[in-house]
Amino acid sequence: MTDLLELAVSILEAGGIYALMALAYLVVLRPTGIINFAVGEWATLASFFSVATLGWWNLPYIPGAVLALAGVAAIGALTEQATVRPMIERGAPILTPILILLGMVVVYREAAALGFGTQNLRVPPPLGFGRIDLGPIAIPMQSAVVIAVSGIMLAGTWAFFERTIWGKAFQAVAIDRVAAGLMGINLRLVAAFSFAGGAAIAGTAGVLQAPLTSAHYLMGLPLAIKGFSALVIGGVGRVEGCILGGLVLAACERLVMRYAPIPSGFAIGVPLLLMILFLLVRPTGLIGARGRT
Amino acid sequence: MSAAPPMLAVENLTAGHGPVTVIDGLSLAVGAREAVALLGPNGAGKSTLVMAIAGTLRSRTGRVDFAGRNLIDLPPHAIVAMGVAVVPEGRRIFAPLSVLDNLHLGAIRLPAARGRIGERYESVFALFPRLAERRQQRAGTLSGGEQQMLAIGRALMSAPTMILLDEPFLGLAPKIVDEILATLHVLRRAGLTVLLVEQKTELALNFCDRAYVMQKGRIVREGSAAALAGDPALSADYFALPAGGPG
Ligand SMILES: Nc1ncnc2c1ncn2[C@@H]1O[C@H](COP(=O)(O)OP(=O)(O)OP(=O)(O)O)[C@@H](O)[C@H]1O
Ligand SMILES: [Mg+2]
Repeated sequence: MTDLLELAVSILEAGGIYALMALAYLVVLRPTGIINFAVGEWATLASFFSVATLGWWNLPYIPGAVLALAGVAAIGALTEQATVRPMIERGAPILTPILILLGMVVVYREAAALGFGTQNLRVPPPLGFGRIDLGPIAIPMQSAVVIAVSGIMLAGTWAFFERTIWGKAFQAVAIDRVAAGLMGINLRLVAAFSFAGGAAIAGTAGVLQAPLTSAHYLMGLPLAIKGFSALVIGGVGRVEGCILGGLVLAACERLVMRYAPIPSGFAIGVPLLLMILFLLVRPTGLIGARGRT
Repeated sequence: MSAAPPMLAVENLTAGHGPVTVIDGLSLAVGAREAVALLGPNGAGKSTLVMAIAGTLRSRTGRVDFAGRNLIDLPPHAIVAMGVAVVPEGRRIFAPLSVLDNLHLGAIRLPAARGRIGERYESVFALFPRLAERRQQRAGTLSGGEQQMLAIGRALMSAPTMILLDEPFLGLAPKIVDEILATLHVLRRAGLTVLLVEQKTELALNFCDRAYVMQKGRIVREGSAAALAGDPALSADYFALPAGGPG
């Protein structure tokens, strides 16, 4: 029983981070049509920024984390302005910005290594190393923080898309760009915001992950892979899909780690296997985009 | 028309899709409160002209003056804000979203000076009561006629002074066509300026004051609706003549 509860907590924790990474892809992909593999590096940059704001400058946690996220959001928006927009406005095919962003992965990663070095940097957990007693189990404080913050971020993004007119405007751009423009939706602003938002969401995953594993300039790749797998599993459409995909992926991964007689290093293959399985059997994912079947 | 400047004046407009030029040095004008038809065969470039005026085509040169301001370098959202609304060819409603969301999106550029959103809903629902009954329904599940009403209603949400309608009657039953025409008459009486793109010559000339006939990206004929209606060369099968078609 205790065992299962602890397993459930670890699934929620990992699932929250994977869901955020999936959402970072989705927020850029839906309105712009761009699959952006730089999300992993956005997570890396944000976790390094949190090393600076929390570790070096000793800011209180919330302002420090928000500053780190604002930094990576600005980088996302600038990247869109500098690399994606000029291509789109010259009428380049959509593959061009996708490849440019793939190139940006290297730029971001090397910049992070130059600025912060290639060693592991520890980030202090916001509520310390204690545990919360919850009857039969005691949850590590940072697990509780990860679950709470990713939950709030996912719920907030869901509410933005489903409950606000600007969220609907993002959806409208995803459904029909030209018609959205005719309504008066500023397509440039939507693109800039989708990159800034995607960066902030991926950055949240990075900032949450950093106290668990330390910040490292190569931490982005596994996050990018897991996020993409969660996106494929859940379906490229809605926030709910990202959440479900993240949880399913985390559950499979944690169950394999715990019960399967394979070395734990092989668990890294789980997301890839699951993704391939879904692409073969159910390419729309568990929850597709609304209106598509 | 000679004294007051026209509301919309297109001058020497050249536009196309990427490297392909479709419209070549075209000029036309629509006066305030006027209803003007734009007729022409398939592929003449009518929809291209509408999109060029609305600003959704990147490659365009010339002048598009609206209410005294040149729109040629403005993005679509700025053009909507100036009071030009478009009902695009094929309706292009946001099918997965509700009727209400579609209408709300139409008002995303509603300037405070042109009214409050609540009033806009009221006036659109008064024009199209069927939309009011179906406000929570997903737009994609509406009938074809209702979808066209939604496309028009959505355009009206921005409280435009001019509306461009691109073949709004395509594929609709005669009864629905009459219903929508009646609504357009109401809007005209309320002072809306209309540019109506149509292939159904008779219907368009009955509704409009004047008309332009377009072929291969150019205006080939223009005149009052009465004069053009009496023109035997402009009969229903005029556009089907081999010399008149695009190919
Ligand atoms: N997106 C596009 N890309 C390239 N060419 C296009 C595009 N849209 C239209 N065209 C071409 O531009 C020309 C004019 O098309 P347009 O749609 O403006 O004609 P139309 O007068 O509206 O015709 P219809 O009555 O059939 O709607 C056609 O030759 C068409 O093939
Ligand atoms: Mg057309």
